Amino acid sequence: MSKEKPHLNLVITGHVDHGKSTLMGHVLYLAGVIDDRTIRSLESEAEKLKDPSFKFAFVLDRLKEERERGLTIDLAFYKFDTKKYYFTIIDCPGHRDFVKNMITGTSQADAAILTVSAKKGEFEAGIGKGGQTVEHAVLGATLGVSQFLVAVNKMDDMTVNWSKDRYEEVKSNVDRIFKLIERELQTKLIVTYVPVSAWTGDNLMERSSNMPWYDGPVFFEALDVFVVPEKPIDKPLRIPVQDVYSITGVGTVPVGRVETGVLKEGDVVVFMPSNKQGEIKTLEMHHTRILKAEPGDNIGFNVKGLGKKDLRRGDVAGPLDSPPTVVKEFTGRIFVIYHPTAIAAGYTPVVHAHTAQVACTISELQSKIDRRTGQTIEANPSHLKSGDGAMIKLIPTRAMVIEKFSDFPPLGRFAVRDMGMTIAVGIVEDVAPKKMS
Amino acid sequence: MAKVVAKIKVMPKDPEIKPNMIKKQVEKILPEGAEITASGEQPIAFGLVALMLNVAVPEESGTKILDAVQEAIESLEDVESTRVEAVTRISL
Repeated sequence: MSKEKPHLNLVITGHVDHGKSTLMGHVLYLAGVIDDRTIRSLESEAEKLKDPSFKFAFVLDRLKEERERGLTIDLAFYKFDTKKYYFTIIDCPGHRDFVKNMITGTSQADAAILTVSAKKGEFEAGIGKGGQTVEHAVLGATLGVSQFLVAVNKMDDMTVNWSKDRYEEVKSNVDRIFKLIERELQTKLIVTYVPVSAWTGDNLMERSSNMPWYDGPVFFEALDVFVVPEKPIDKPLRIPVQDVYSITGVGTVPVGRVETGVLKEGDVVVFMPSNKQGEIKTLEMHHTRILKAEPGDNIGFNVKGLGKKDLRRGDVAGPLDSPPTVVKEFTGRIFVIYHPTAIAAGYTPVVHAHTAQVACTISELQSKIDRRTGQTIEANPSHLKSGDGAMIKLIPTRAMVIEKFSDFPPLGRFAVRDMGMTIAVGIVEDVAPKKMS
Repeated sequence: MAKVVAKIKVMPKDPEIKPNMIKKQVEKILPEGAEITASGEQPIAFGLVALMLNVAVPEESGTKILDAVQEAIESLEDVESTRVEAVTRISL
């Protein structure tokens, strides 16, 4: 694979029943990642199981084994390239608990594929109450993805029969969901729709003769419509601190990933909530001295005038004229993933955001929201249960930096944890800053 | 059975501690059900080198087992911190 093509991280979402694995298996096959001989042996495996539709889903299994045999640190178990890009794939786990790791992870999601079945009943379940299509669209946007490719799948199904009307119906319903997310997250999303059959391969690489009414890009063409997201270099600097070292002969060295803005030698930064300032002497990335660091760079930086004890994990470095926001209280738009009983005001779980983990008390349940329509179902509800969408207020039990999602997406999303489980995920709608002396 | 693989970045206590030293210890204390499928190193800055691990866990265990993996690794004297950089599903 060419290393010169631009690289994009692709997040694969959608319910397994909607054909997500088959779609990705077929795409990887068409991209030449897996050879004919292997696909034939997979076919016979699938026939033995009396379910030939699993042929392409098996591709993912086979690749997994191959990756496991070869020692590669590349988390990209699946990768392929198109005319324009080199893609690595992150396949979203089905177990919702892992959403926490996606929210607090550092790997940049550049684009997402959402697989939506057009099959009668299946599509309706996906956008119905508790349906995963809405949830996955929201998750993608929460991860900071602004470009989506929606594969309207199973166009070959008997109940669909390559129908343009059914495709338009699915498309308009899904589009309504994305419009709602755009409004709620105050973000701009680019969404491309392609009617496909992951099973037969229609409209994946070759234009389908079964759908002559469709004149948009086929799946592979649509992948090349994606753009490399611009690095948020124009925003104020934000570097959540992962660790702080005291290195002999160097001095105090915080380590972290630049999320927004630019850091240069000689800059003076402030670390919040520790509220300590220091001048940057030198920066290093991959053991090499660099003069400036940009979003995505994992760096260590040597700070003059501060000791190791002055800083801690969860601190965020920022410029003096636009310091990271320490909050007295913040408003979160959340989705309750799972709670064994119910969430009420006074509940104090742990909030994970960037590198910080802080217990926060839910001070107010403002409203319960229907996530399919964005409408308030109930004002000031007494409690929230699994599957509920809501606006809530939280008060950190100790000083914490968190930002509005619309200002700093990587610092404005969070996971709520308790009892070893992910209770909820959300984005920060608003912040009430704390006065820092 | 579906598995989830987490890419975990393990930071050493100081620049003297090399990734291989940590990896050998991690292999001995990994909780049951978790398995290292790949490893490597990533130079950070000022002599610090992170150990990178791909750790596979059963999907149905949820994040509890990942928490246990992180806790076990963080209990090692040579380790400063761990962070899950990304998670992906790897089979059906």
